[in-house]
Amino acid sequence: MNSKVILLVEDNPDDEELTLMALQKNNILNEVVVARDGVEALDYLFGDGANSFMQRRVLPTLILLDLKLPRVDGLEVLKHIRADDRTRTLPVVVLTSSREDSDLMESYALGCNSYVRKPVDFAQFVEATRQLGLYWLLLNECPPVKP
Amino acid sequence: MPSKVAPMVSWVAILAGVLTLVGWIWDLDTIRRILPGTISMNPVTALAFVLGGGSLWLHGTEAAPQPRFWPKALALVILLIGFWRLMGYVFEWEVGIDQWLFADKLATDLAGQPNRMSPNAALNFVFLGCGLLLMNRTSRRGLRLTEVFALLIGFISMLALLGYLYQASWLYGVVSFVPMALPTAVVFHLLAIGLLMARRDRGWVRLILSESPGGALVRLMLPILLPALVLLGWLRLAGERHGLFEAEMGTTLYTVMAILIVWGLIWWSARSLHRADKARRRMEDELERFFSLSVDLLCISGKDGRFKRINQAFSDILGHPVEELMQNGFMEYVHPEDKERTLKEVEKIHSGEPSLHFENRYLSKDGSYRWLWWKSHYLAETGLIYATARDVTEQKRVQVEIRQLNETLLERATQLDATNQELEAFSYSVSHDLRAPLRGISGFAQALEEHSKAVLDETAQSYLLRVRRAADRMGYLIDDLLKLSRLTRAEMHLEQVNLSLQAESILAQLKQREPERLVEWVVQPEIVVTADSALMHVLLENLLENAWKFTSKNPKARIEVGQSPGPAGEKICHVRDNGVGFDMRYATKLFGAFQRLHSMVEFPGTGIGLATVQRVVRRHGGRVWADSELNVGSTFFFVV
Repeated sequence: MNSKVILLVEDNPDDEELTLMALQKNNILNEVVVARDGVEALDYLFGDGANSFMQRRVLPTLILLDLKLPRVDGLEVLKHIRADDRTRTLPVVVLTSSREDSDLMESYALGCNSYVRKPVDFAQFVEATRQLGLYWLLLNECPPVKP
Repeated sequence: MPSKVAPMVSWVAILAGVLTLVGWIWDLDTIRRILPGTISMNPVTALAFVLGGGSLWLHGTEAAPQPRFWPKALALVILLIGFWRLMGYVFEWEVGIDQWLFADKLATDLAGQPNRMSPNAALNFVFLGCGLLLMNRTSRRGLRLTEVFALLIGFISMLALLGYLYQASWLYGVVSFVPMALPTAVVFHLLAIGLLMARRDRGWVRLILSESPGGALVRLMLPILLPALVLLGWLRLAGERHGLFEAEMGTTLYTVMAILIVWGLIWWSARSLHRADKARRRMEDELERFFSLSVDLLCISGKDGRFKRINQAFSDILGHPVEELMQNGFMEYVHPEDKERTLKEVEKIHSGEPSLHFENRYLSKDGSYRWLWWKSHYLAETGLIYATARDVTEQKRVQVEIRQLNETLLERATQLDATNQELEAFSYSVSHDLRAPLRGISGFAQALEEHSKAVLDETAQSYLLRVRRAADRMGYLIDDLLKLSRLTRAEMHLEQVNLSLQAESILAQLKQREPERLVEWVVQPEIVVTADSALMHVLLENLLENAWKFTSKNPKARIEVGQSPGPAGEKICHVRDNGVGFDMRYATKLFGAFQRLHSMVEFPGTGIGLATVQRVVRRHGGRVWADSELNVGSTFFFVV
């Protein structure tokens, strides 16, 4: 069992299910915490609820962030993550349907580490998820976490 | 312009007087007598000439400051000398004033003839004194009198001069045989001219020197007529004296010749006057014609605020009859709101400032007001305002209309902007929201397939496969549509684009994608157009991908990219292939979105490619068309 936690921020339950399926298919068995909108995501990260990462004294190794979210959108969440000293260095992969130039530009400007567009075809989606997991959870060395 | 003649004459008079006096002092005969055997100039006459010259010179020209006392004092002295001498002759007094200088030398000047100031010289001095005294009078009468005195002096001295010329001593001696000396006559004649010329900008001299035909006539006739008549008289005298003909014959000859000369001159002047008048009348006619022809309003108005003259355009534009307009003051027609401004402008024009752009409204017959744009000029000499006006009502209306149109346009543009933003939001939403359910369909279909493989028969599995394919295809359609809309929205940056390089790189990529295909391609080097580089890349990509795709059934595939000049000098680019081609009957449908001329199975694709090509071309204001033959190949032409 891997102790690295993934935070998946996704409002669409289908996409959430598909992402979890894809992770499972690729044998990425890390714990996945799902936030269903921006506020929930921020609560997980900075709040003082029981599920908060701060409370658990562990930060996610990877954040998969959808952009279009109810209440607080993905870009806003990203801004908060980068603004806080504790989460500044967390790897954030934007995982979205949009390929608008403006979204791409803004995401990178706000400091996302990667931008992946979800393919329609599930096989391709599984492949994309595999590569993401392989890269960010195994290959990539993250800076030491200071909760 | 001040005359230089008067000062010159005054210096000549002074010089002549001084030289004569010098001649008397040292007995220099040639100086005081000039012609041997004739009488010398009297020393007092010489002195009077010095005074007269001085007075004339002191009078100066009008530009110079006017000395009050001295010129008049000198003139008075001359007048008194002449008058005193004249009284002596009339009442047979022995006045002795002309004997005052060099009395002993005077007695022996000429044998048997004592030197005296002649009566005609004394009379001339009276006239000269009066003329000089009256010279600076500004009244017309004073001026006239000066001119009359000058003419009298000129006349008397001319008599003396003619006497010398014709050797008729009674002419220069008048009756009492005290003759006027030759130099005296000459100086008097010059002084007469000087007096006349001193005020050349007024009186008769002005007429003679003027540009008018009258002045030209005098200037031309006098120098011919006077010498000719004098010469004629001399010839007649000479002929008679030498016994060539009798007095009767001489008189007849003289009269005939004089008539001929005078008649010739009159005829000549009549003809030139006639011509000048004809030319003037033609010019007047022309001006009159333009005046009545003018589309613009032309008028002359006086200080009383009434028109003195207006052209037909006034009546044409305002509708009032010309007589009515002339009768009423023009202020009656000015719009009440413009009256004050107009009055101020008229005042300004009367002060001599030209008015180049003034606009006001005039009442027309139908009760509406017309905007008139005025250009006016005041002529102080006539006290009249000359003005032209243009009816700018229509212009004003159009201006207002344009302003309104602009406002509407701006409103529309704002609306369009809003619509565009909505559209943007819509495409964003399409991109994001439509793809998510598709992913669900595709993903769960596959999940179902994997999960229930055991219980699903072959048909059911093929249905699931179709569901996934359909979802995938819809994904591509959405992507292509978005690309198309992005093309329209992207900003254009025109630059020199080398299409040859772009085509080469696209073809190389296609080759890389399908290395097993054997395709020969020829790209003409240096095809350069002025266009947006990114858009041109999209265009070439679509055309070359099509060419690549539709030649896939041909084992000897060949793609050409080239450029040739069109009939209007434009550069026509083309992409040619030897693929399956299409039926030209459907050529009109070729560039519509989602329009396909081949089956999906045969050649996959979304049908967006050529629509994209057309949109790129349209954004550049160019055109695109195609030529094809089934199973031979297609050529796509475009001009940007």
